Amino acid sequence: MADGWKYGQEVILLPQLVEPLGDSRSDYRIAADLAVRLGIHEEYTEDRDEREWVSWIIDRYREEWFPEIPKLDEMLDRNLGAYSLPVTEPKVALADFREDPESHPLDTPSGKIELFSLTMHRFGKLDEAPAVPKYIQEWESPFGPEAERFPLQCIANHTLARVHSTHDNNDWLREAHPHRLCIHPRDAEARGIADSDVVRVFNDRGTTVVPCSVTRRILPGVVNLPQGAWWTPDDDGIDQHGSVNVLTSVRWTPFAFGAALQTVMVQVAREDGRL
Amino acid sequence: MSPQHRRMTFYFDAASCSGCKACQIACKDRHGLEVGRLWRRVSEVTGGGWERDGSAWRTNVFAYHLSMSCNHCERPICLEGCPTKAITQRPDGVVLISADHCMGCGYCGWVCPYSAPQYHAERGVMTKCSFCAKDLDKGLEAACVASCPVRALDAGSPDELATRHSTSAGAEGVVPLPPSDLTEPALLIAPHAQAHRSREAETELRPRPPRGLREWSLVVFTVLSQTAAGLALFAGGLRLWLQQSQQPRSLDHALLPVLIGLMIAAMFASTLHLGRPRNAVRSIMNLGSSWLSREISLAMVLLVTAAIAWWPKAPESMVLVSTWAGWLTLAVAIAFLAGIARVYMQRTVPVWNHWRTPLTFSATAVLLGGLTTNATLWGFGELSIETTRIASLTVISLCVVGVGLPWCLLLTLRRRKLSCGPTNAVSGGAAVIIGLILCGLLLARPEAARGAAPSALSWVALGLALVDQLGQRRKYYARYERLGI
Repeated sequence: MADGWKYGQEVILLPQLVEPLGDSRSDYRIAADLAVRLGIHEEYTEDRDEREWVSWIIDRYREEWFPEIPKLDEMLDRNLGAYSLPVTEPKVALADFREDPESHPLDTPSGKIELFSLTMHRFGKLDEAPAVPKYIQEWESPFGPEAERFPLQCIANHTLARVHSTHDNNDWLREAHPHRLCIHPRDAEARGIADSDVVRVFNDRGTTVVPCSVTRRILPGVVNLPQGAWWTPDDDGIDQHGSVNVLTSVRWTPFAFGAALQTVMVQVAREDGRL
Repeated sequence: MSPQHRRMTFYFDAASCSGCKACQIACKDRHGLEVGRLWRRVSEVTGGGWERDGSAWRTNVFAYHLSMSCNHCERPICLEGCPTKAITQRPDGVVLISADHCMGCGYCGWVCPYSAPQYHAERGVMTKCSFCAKDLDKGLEAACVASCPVRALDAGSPDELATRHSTSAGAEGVVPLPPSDLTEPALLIAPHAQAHRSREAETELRPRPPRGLREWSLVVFTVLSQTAAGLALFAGGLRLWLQQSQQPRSLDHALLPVLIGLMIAAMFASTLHLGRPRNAVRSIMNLGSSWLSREISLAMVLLVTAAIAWWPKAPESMVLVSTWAGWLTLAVAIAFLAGIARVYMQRTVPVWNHWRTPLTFSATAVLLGGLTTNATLWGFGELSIETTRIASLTVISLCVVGVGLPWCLLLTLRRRKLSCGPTNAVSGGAAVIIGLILCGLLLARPEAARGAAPSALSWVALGLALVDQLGQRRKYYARYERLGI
């Protein structure tokens, strides 16, 4: 069972559909059986099995949040997959603050909306994390010198075929949503590339080989290589399955220390080497 | 209730479809389809373009999806063409293929404008969407309909669908679907808001519709069987002409084995592309509507009439029978050539459904039939040299005229840009030139006919023409392109 994402106004019940196959166990069962080995079984399970936990949680919800929510048995009998509270009023961001900023200050040093952030200023990386919101040129961009050798911006969307890299080895899904580099007809034509041609996508960090889809659904100057494809090197270590990870940088973003996965410039050529 | 009212019909809401392909996967799961077979298939249609505006790009690109399976047509072109009667239609309109009866020739797949019939390589038969008939009969939904997360798919009788959906639109005019009157699909589509634009703008379709066929065994079959029909025409005519003089029999012992050999070789070649050759005996089951059945039957009738007409040891008392059988052979040969052309002149394949097809096929028959007759005369004939010379001259002249005239016609049309397609349908130029040399030789120096030169030239001309025609026929198949999705 899970809270919904609608500000917690919803409870979703996930009833068991199949018995565990073979020796497989549910996540809870695995943890509970480990607890036996650690000698903390009673403390961990409080003497409840999965069903009793779900029932217990629903009872807590009833006490604290959803006074009308039915008992577990009733939910199962009625095949009630979700229980939601009706939405009666629109949700307005920062409503209290807008009503009365004095008594409802924001969680900022000044308690106000800060166009200039002293925190960011003191952070001291003004080139990459400025104190006022403004455009800064990316590390790699179509406007920098790197664009001479790698003129195409490479983005990496989440494809319908996979959950990140999960299911990349599912042949039905590969058939339904083939893994392709999307490239605009203008950019393809300039490189002598036709639809379905196998192409090389490369920059200074690496090279990957993948069939392409010449489509006007993408902006000229941009290519898209969906993330999550499994790295499949040939004997020379060149990936043959369009794994975008060989093209991305390990450089962290300045403030959140994340990966800048859409800040990647590349060049594309037909796999036979003709550019 | 009239059959029309309980006809099972698919409904597809193109405006709601997100292109997730859950229907496609559910279908594969329900029917255990390996990669490559897609009884339900989601295609993407893209149109519009980009324009540069200073340093920015402006776009009006649009895209929508079509989820397509067998549309269980009112006029199923697959069922009409199936030679083995393996395809049947239930009273509720559901079209089914029987694996027990199918011989795996793939013809239904060539002509269906929705790519519905698909080959099952392991079992060697054609298969397609059954509308989940077994589930339907239990009152359940088709797997694709049940799986759609946005309820873009539905199925039922037209009346039921009308109560559930506001649109009553058919599938007419939805790019890239073919005109509905070709097969009258049981399909209702609520079009995407941008669908009207795809009628004016250029669009891309993904996956792309099939183009080009590589059927080498049918290349051999059509060329050899048309050669046999041409031989029947030339040799049959020659024989009827000789009958007025004295020596028709001296041809028969050579011509009949050549004709039978050609036709048997052709038929054997044709079985090599079948997934299930043991069902080939069923290929004459559908004389009622399949030109394939008719073509195969006419080929066999041709063998029978020619055998009666040309039987070398027939008694003198049978002359009247052989004469009539001789005339009948000519008629059957022409009927066969018409039949084999109709096999390819299908309304969903415009590139073949054209006068070029019968022209191409009859040119092959004239060229190769004539040259085979000529080579047989010189190689195996027992006619007097004088008669052989006259017969050969006649055959070669007819050959040159029969191939040359259409060739000039096509060339003229091409110059005037009237011919919308291939002009290499009629060739065999080298063979015709050798034929002309042969004619000149025979006309100018009758004594040349006594050596081995005419025989050798005849065989070289036939060999060249055969190679050329096989190459041209391969290109004919490669040009295959049909309407639809």
